[in-house]
Amino acid sequence: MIGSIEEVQETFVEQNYIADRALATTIYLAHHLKKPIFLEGEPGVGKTEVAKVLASATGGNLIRLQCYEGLDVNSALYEWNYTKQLLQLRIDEMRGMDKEQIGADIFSEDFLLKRPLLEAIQTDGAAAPVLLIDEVDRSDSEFEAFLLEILSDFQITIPEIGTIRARHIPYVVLTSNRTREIHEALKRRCLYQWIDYPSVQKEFAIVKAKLPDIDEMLAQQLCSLMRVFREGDYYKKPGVAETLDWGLALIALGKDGLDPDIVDETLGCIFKYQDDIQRARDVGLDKMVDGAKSDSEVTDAKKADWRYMRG
Amino acid sequence: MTDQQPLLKEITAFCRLLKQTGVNVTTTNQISFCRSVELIDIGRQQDFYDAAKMNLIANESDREIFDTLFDWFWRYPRPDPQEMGIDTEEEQTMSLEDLMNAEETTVNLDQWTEMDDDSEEGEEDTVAYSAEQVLTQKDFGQFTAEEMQKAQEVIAKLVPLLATKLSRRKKTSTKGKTIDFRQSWRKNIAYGGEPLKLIRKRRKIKKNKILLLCDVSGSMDYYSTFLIQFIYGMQQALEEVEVAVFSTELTNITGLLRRKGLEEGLREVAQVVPDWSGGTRIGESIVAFNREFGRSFSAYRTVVILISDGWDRGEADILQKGMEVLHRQAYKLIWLNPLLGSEGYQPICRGIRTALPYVDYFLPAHNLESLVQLTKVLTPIWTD
Repeated sequence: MIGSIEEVQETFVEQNYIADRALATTIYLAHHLKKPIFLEGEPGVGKTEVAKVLASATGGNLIRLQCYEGLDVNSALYEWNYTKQLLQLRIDEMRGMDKEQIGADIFSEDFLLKRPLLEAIQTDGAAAPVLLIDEVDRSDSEFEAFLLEILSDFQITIPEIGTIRARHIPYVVLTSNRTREIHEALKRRCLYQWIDYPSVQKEFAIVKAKLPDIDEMLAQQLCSLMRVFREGDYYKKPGVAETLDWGLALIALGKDGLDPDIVDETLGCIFKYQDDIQRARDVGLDKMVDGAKSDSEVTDAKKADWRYMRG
Repeated sequence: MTDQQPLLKEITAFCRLLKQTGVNVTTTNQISFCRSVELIDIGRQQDFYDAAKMNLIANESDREIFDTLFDWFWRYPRPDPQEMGIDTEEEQTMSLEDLMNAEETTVNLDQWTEMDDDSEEGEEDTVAYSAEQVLTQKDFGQFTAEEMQKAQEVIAKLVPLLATKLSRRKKTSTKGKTIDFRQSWRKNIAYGGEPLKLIRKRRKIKKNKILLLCDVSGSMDYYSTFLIQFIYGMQQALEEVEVAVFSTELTNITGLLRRKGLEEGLREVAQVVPDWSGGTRIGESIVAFNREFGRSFSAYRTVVILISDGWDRGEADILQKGMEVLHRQAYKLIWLNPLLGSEGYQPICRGIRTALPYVDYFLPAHNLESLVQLTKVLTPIWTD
């Protein structure tokens, strides 16, 4: 599927993910250069989704490591199953087993708890797995340093067992919401891609792909209004995830067009802070909805773009 | 391969140009870019641009420089650099001619310590606020090593008080709630594997994240040395300090300081910050600060230190909203005010009155003496 940039783009569209050419190029190059991809952008622009789609497109396993502050090697890589070892030790002793044998016994793979990174390196399967290291900005610098080591060699040394090398070099996708700056050393080992909020046309294509049941007119208005919201001064601007949630909500309500009342009732789908909801109301929903409606008529003509992308 | 040589040369030249402008391109990045070029159709300019961008820059903030340079470098025939605002000789990208012509002002530490008596007077007749963005360039190279040393000693004492919390990471200890199996297992080998002694883990003490928000407007000119010393001291003592400066606009200078090292970084700060010693709009700057750093509050316990004299020419209700959000998100909000040290000073200017209800600690910081006082005030608070 990764023979050319166009092929990547087509495969992603088949999986209902609208990737622009820059992202497709990143994936294409990541495959051929065997480099990790570093995706940065606001929350809800579909960074995590890239890994999921990549996994289902290549047929590899998706292995996910969610980062958090204090994430350590024991929960990212491996840990011995101490309780099981202790029990086994007792049983072996009762049987009068040889001491060296016991040692070899309890430090074998059976007693190893595999955490995501080890799993990504050890995966069998025909296709290379996709390792998603999500929200790496939530982890701390110790963990970043450790990642550097893993991502450059794709091998892990466990003192009691030996060195384990990756059978397939996994696709690695790192995502960051930029709550803090990630160290350059890590970023520089990756292909860096900033994912921005999509254009109205692209978002329309995404909505159509993800919510096939949606009324075309409604989708158009939805995307136009989203752009208006993103241009406003809100604490947390709505991402694509919010657009899709909102679209789903409107479908459930049986709507085929926007009006100020329905927007007001469903503002909770778009904004997650009371201040933002209040601000949207203060700015005037009537005005914004009207603006979005007239906008969507103009962009109507551009829908041809989207049809072209779908082939 | 021979016909690819010119391209290789061009790529190398382009990478060097990027490096000169402060984008940290490694050799590995360059090699990786060359390999990418072999894989793509370089006839398509968009693909070539994408490949260059993803390999050579690792920060969205570098993109602007990158775009300008890319646009200039890969155009045929190459336009005059001056037209594009590129200065290829110097280690600068953006045209900073305005800055170069601007007046140079320096206040050194001695002047600054002597100055606090008449500082209020200075406030009034020089620079309560400036009506327009005034661009001036500061020269920070004139501190003596001694002055640096003196201020840093005090700040070094101050920093640990501001900057500790319990970590999520654990370390082995005799006390603690959770059992450290790895260590227990190891230690009990001495008793034949019988778990006689349990080793425990407890949370490490960890440094807080500190956000420094510094007013560099005209009215703060007298204290600029203090600001620099403070930032310097903080960065020396802590790994994670975010620094932003504002007067009419907010500028995040953390990356710059980190990338360039402190001395060179500070010199460049005065050039990069668009309105060093300009007017003040605290409210707008705090709102911008909330927007930029807003979400990093949730991941860390953060102490926000605001250094400003409170002279403000922005809207009061914007300031109030900004302070409200800041107060809610920060672990502690400390306002260090150089004016607070002056005798007979009352927090009457509008900016301060608006903001005061949201501040956890409102403390003086007008000279070294007051910093020593500050350590004394903070000690009981932070060591409970």
